[in-house]
Amino acid sequence: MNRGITLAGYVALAAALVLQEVSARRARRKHRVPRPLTFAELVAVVRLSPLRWLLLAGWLWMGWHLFARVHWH
Amino acid sequence: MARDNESVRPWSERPAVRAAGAVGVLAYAWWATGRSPFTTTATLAVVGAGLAAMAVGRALRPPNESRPARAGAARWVLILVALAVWQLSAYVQQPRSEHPTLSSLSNAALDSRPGRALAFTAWLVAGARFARR
Repeated sequence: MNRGITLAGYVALAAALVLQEVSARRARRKHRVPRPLTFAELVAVVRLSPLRWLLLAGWLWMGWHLFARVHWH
Repeated sequence: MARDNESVRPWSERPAVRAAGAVGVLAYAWWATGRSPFTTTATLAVVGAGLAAMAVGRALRPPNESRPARAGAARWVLILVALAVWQLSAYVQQPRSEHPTLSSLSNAALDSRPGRALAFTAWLVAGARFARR
């Protein structure tokens, strides 16, 4: 695997996330049942579940990693 | 009448309070992202602000929010797990220039101080919103 393939993977997965959101919004507009969740609804599901503490810890670690543990040029 | 509306509206939703909060957060973000990395000051500035954002988020919880149905989350989970696996497979390989991780890719965007301060602000806002119950 080289840089090009790695970047292509990230782009493909980002596109999949965008497509999922577009598809969920379209399904909601058309009142389909059952329908996929939008990203905001997914966040609400996780936010109200016991997983929230794990994700908040991950969020805190990410901030520390990005803003306190990187050498700026 | 306007005064009545002001007294009914929670203090945290008043425009003046929100504007002052936004200015304060941006000023803090500018200060915090100017600390030298790998120092105790930088760690305390970031982690302290993160914990404060979580506390503020919990205090500002929205009332009467219903829990959305979990059905329909499967595809999100699948894509996010695939992203985590892809990131991990890049992380364990070297050199980093050939196998970039998301954090190494974000370094370019976070290289300038204004970019870093804005990203820091977005990180705090996201955390406060997620911490709401």
